[in-house]
Amino acid sequence: MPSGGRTLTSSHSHEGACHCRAIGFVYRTALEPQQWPIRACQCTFCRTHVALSTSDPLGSLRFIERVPAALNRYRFGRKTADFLICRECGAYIGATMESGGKSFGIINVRALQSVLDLVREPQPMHYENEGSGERLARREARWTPIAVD
Amino acid sequence: MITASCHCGAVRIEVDTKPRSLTSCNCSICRRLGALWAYYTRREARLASSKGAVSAYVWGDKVIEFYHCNTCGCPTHYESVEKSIDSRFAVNARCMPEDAISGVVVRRFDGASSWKYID
Repeated sequence: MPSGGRTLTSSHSHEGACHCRAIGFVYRTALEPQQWPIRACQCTFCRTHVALSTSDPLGSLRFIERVPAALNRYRFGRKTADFLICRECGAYIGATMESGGKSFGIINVRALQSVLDLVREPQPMHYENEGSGERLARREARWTPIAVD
Repeated sequence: MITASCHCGAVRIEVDTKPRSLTSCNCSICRRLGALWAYYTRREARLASSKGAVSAYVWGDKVIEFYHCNTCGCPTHYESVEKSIDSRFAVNARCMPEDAISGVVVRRFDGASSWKYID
């Protein structure tokens, strides 16, 4: 599916995980890590976790629970997204949200130790003044579709 | 007094003084947690949270307990497994108000490899 000059034919798979590997993800994107947008959201949650978010609307994402009950879905603020944290080691690995029967997600690049040194400088992002509809639309356009079985 | 708090407020840590320095470590756990460590002793730091608000994560050679909030997951502090009144109590300065750590020097520690400060 050509879009924006890219195709999905050469996408690469990146496996990330929390420190104890109880939870993780498989992220597929045609972008090289050096091209990934790296967003440092300035909300209180992301600042405390020093989260580095990336996503690709043309990629796909699947979260994995290797240890039952290890996944903590934390919601706060407008409660429109689930922030995925390992109950064992405390690492934050990404977030998901649902809209129109579809799921979208972002990953925390910190869960991908192999590419952490390759990615660009994070861009500080301020989302606090956007409306709820605006937020939903921004995430639908920018976040990665969650793979459907 | 400085109060460090996790995102949801369930875990609070109080210390009386500004940290002398902050440590950014590149080991596998610190890189994931994004933590910035402010070192105190157990005598100098007070943990104010209900029982069960935090969990400890111990791994590798099992000498350090990394604590995080059970609700919001924020890494809050670490301690030695072997404790004394003067053993280290490292507070995650990301949980401190920004003005409490402004101007404090950040040291880079190579926990991934040489186990030395690299600045």
